[in-house]
Amino acid sequence: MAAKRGGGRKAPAPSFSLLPHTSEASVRAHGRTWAELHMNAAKGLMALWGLDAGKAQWNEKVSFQSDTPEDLLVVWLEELVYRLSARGEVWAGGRAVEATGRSLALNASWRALGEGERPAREVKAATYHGLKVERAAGLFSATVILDV
Amino acid sequence: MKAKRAGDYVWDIPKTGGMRVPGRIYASESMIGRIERERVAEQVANVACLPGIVGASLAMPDCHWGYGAPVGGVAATDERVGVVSPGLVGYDISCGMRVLRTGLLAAAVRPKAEALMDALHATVTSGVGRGGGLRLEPRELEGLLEGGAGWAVKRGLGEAADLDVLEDAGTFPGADPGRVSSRALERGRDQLGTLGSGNHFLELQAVDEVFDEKAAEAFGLFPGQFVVMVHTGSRGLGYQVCTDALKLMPAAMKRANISLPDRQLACAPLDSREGKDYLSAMAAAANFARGNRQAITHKVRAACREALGLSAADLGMSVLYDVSHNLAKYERHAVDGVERRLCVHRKGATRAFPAGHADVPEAYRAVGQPVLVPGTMGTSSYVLVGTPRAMLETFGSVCHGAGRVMSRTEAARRVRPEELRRRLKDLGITARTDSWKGFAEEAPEAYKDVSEVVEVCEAAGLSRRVAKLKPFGVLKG
Repeated sequence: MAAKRGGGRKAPAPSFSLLPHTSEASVRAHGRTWAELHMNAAKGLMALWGLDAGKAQWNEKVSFQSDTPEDLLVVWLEELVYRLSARGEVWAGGRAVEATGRSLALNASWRALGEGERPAREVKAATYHGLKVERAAGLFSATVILDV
Repeated sequence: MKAKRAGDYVWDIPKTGGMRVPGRIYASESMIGRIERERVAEQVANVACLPGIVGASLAMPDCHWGYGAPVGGVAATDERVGVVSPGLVGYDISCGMRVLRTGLLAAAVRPKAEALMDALHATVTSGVGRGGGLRLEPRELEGLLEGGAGWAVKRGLGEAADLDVLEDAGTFPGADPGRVSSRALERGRDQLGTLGSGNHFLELQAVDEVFDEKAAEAFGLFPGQFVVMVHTGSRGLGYQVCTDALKLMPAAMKRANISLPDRQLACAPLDSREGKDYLSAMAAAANFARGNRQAITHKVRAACREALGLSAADLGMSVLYDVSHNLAKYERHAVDGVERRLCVHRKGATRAFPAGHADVPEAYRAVGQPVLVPGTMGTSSYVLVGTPRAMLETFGSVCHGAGRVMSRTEAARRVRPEELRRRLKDLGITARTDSWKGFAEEAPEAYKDVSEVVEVCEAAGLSRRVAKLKPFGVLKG
């Protein structure tokens, strides 16, 4: 699947890519900031579902804390998985209010899964296997394997 | 990591580093190269580091790269000093197979396959996103989590006789719905009776070949027979139980001074609060899975009666067997000649008990436990039977399917959904799905040859082939 391109002029980098895994799916996301990294990881998950952000129907403040950047990424993606699976809520973008390696607070936008709209595949969970968050040359990168 | 040949179909990984036992992979010579390249041997070695593991860390011939443990992995830990690892069960707790047999010939059903597939597609929903299944009130969901298929039958979703031939009679013991989080309950509340997506499916099949007439007769199978195969699990509820448990394991590991090479293998001593809580929640999720397959059975019966215009008696649909391939279970096995109570983890591996075992349903005890092995939508599936040798070598375990060889991204790039649909049609297979994109990712070429997998199992003495089943209708989530 094709990677999408981010919009930064100084450090253009792919916002995310979907990496091959024999039985699961792997997302590699990048960002010049922690906030951008988490938003791009969410875009990667949306691409796995084959869902568009669409038009936001409501906004909601959400926040997460964790001991490590890796755990924070898993917690954030699990929130998106849970909302879609349990409530039929689709992430429609958002703006980070605060983002560090251990906390994430954002004004998130959501929409309801449309009538007849179906994700291309079911994502069961974000896993810890091969989970990695790195920083090099001013760019944050994260790799996460999702059980599909 | 390289494995050393230890027999015609056996490859060993000697104990090194933090491994507490050796690793052992069952594979043919043509399979082992890919298995090594895929880091399966490394994952087998990582599992061998679990405290209290006994015998060997095992991988079946359908093994492939997973997360934490390989898919196709088996590991048994001692009841007194061992651990339970949720990652070694997987997210889809008690995902498994069920086969429904009928008194009909497939040839009589084929002319109405299109109508039957439409009826099944309309009733057995994929459930991705919001459920689409039977919506349960909190008290009903609690009953399901405690009673599994037994609860479903009491609620009118099936027949009492169905329970006689299910693993654990359809109810996994020790379930405590109180250990299941509100998020997990929310994810499961309207998913009963749904397949899910990915490799989950429902197939109309014909018994294509019988290899073992005595066992086939005991299993109620005959050449040309119309049967239905179902592959699904505990849906969102089970996924969330595993997600929740993985967050609780690190505290138990810290207390017990356990360190492991992969976080996804996070574990807790079996006698710890975290270990017991996980096993209680896992049992509840297993009951959801068994109830789910029971609810689907009820829907399949109704769809068949309607589409084929038959009475229940004329359809004669009964359950052959129902068996999980993602589970941790307490079982008794001999280790170095001494019988011990072990927690046997199977992640993408099927329990395969031999003739005479007390846990085999009475109807099959003279021949052994049926083992239901799905193939791919364009090839075949198999019914096997357990052997005494599997009890000695693999804690009574064998393969669970064909095993993937191609990533979903690669399959999506190579296989066009319309071309696949045409190809199946040319083979006489009618297909229905909610997602043609997801359907293409499950193309036959994305998997190993299931026939080779079951032949390796048989050659290694872990199981025997009883019957081969060929699909003529496929429903994918």
